[in-house]
Amino acid sequence: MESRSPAGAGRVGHRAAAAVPALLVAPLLLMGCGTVSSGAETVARDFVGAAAAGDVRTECGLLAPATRDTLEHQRGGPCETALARVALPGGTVVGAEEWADRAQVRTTADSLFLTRTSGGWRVAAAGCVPRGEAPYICTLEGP
Amino acid sequence: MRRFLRENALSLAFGLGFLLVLCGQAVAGHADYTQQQLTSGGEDPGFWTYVTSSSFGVDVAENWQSEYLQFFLYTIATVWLLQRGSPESKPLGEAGRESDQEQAVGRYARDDSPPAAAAGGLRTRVYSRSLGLVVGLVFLASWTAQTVAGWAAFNAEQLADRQDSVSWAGYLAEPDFWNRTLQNWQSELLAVGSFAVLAVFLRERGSPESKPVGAPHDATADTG
Repeated sequence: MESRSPAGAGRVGHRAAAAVPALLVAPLLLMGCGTVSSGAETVARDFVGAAAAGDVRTECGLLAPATRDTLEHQRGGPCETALARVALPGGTVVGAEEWADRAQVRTTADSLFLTRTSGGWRVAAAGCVPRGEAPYICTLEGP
Repeated sequence: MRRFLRENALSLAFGLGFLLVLCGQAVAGHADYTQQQLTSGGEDPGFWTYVTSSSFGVDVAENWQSEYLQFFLYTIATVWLLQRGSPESKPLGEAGRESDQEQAVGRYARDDSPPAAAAGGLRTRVYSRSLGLVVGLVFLASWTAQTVAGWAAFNAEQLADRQDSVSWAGYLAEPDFWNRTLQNWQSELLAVGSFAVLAVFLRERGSPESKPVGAPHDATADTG
């Protein structure tokens, strides 16, 4: 409200003072505060759909690099082989929220956590079960 | 031009210094944020993405709000609170808003007084408190900005840690918000309080923030 200074009114000091709140508030509009994310939601839906169809190649392509590396290291083989042995709950997407470069997508049976990479949203964790105040326990996750 | 620079050196120097340091904060903050991202399986978001992020926003806003709170409190508190021997204090016995004659407002305004000081009524009453009002509003705006940016940054960290996000009201009850807020407030109060006392006994020759070097310790409201 106070960011709007009347055109031509006031001295430089007044205009500068009025500009400060505008400088503070404007960046907040760019930060993306928990809006429903079509990007993260779409990737999660594709990931869950691929899991249901047994399309591990697509699943691996939608994993965050660090999560993929962790999976391959833990299971001692390529992602496609390792992921075929991981049972994920799947379900239907019911909601998504995005905070900066992180997102959470809920399905009817699962919670997935996503991270934004240079290639777009990717799944950082899946098969996640809540534990109250403690972090979720996830069947598939990276660092 | 040289005259303009000479007569506005204080604001220009601090304005330039502010921009340089803000850029430095952005560079260091980006490097620190990238380290954290890589540790938690993320990627370097890129410099410009970082400087428009909630993480950078909350780091900036939490310091702005505390600085403006400091000046707001000091502006208002020094109307009523005095400190014997301090150049930051008014003379002892002069606590309060003072008379119209002493403040040169209304019918006591001088020819060169601002029009708002001479106008009388609401306009003069508002103008008489305009410094505190504007600084206080900037404090409230930057503190509000801190709550919003801090909320977004906090929720991003929550999701990175595989935890649920919280509402804005929920964030205001989180230790993260109050830790960010109070750690800044305590340092501002310490700096202002200690400066008012140090200036009783110590001198900085030529500075209006100090008494003249030869002024006695109990000389109040004396600036050199």
